[in-house]
Amino acid sequence: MDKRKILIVDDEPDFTHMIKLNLEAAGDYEVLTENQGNKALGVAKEFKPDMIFLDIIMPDMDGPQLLALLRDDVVLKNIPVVFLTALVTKNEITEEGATIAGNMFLAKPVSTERLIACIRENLE
Amino acid sequence: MLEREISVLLIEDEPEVAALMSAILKKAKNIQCQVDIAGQLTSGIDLLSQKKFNAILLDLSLPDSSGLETLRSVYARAGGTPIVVLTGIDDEEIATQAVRQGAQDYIVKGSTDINGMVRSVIYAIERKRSEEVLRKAHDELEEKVRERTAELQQANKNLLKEIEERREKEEEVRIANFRLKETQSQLIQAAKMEVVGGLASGVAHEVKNPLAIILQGVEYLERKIPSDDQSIVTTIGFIRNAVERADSIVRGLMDFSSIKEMNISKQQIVPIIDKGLMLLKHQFDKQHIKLEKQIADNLPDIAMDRNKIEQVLLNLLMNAADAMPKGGTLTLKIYTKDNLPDAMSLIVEILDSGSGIENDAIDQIFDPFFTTKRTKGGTGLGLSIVRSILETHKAGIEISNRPEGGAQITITFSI
Repeated sequence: MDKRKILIVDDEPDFTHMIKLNLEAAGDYEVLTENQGNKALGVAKEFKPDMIFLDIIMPDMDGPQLLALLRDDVVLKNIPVVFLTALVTKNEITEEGATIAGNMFLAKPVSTERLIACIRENLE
Repeated sequence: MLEREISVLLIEDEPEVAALMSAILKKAKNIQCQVDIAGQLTSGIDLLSQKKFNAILLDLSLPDSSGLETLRSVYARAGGTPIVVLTGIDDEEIATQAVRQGAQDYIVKGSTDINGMVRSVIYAIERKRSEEVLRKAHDELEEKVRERTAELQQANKNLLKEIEERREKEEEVRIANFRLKETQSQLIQAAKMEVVGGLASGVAHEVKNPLAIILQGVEYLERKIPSDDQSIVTTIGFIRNAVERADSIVRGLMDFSSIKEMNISKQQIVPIIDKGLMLLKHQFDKQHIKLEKQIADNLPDIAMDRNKIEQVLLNLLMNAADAMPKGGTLTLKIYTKDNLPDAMSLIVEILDSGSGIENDAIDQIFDPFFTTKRTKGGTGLGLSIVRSILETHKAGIEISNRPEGGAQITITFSI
């Protein structure tokens, strides 16, 4: 089977770099990173990821805006999207299966273990 | 200065004496004297009741009365008219007594001192008048004293009332001042919360992203660096812990900004407490903490954000457990209290048997970042968040030390 393709969109290059290293080292994943929200749609169209991790707060285009574009795209609309966000409170995390606008989210800082669990949940 | 005309009643049973005296009086200089004569006590008294006299000349020995008794009878009916007693030469003793008992003077019958007799009558009248004037003046003075006393008493009463009113005002001012201070400290507290809440999301975003990089970096190093060097494993463990601690502080901060977003529903409090106790069961068992529950039946529902109240109760139960590292008893009391006919409170008391709270700490215990557990990883946000959450539920919380040792938390929900 081909490697699972994961797209990570976050405006922190150091963060996306580290995640790419860790995910590719830990599992059978091909990881592409994008640090500019407004370029992410084009990248996604070309890369055709199996799953997308999306930062919420980004300077040029934020996560929910990008998600709306993805959902409007005939090819990309069914790709699972999980938000990665720094803006989650303890209360929200204690709830099982917490979502933002119907999409699952993970709170930063997030461990590789948790990321992989999340990918498995969505793709298997 | 004397009245030109005077009228005299002469009560005398011996006609000759009466005639003589009448004649003497009528002839007196400077006055015109009108004399009425009565030969008996009864007729004298009759005349007294019919007519007004300026003076009475009274013989004490009458056919129908004698001695001082005669004086007393006339005196009682004279209405203040001066009485001059007529007396025999041998009776000066009784005359003196008569003067003591109200007669103005006495005249010895048969005396040839005409001027003396007239003078005696006139003086008696004068003296009586002076007495009257004096009495009137005295009465007026008394009246004035009475009036002035009443005024003083009234003034004194007013003064006491003013003092009482002033005291009440002072008490009101004191209470108002106390409330003001209380409100002020609540405002300061609210302002602190506002600042912390406002900072929270900004700080969270700026801090959590670097934390995310550090965590990912640590995980990368863990994989790449050979782990047979124990000091490297320990160091990486420290970094991981530090990231988790920093993350927990930031999350705590963020809870401030989410406190006001409420998801209210009516809930029973007991299942929520039971959930907290279940989560802490392991810690309770490990620390040999005994649990005592005193929970009233038929407790009413409380309008609450269930998640937030869970957070509050869990936090407080954990604090209580932390206070008893070497075992003890945690007592839970839940009951209702009637305040007014239509107002009720639900009270939750959490009592531990630990070492209590230092008095210095009690005042600051709800302040953000105040902690007694800094060395054990406390962020100082727990109780400040607890209070903020309870405030949004219009519930109060008090912490005190129990006289028998340990601390007591009292939460009051209004129903």
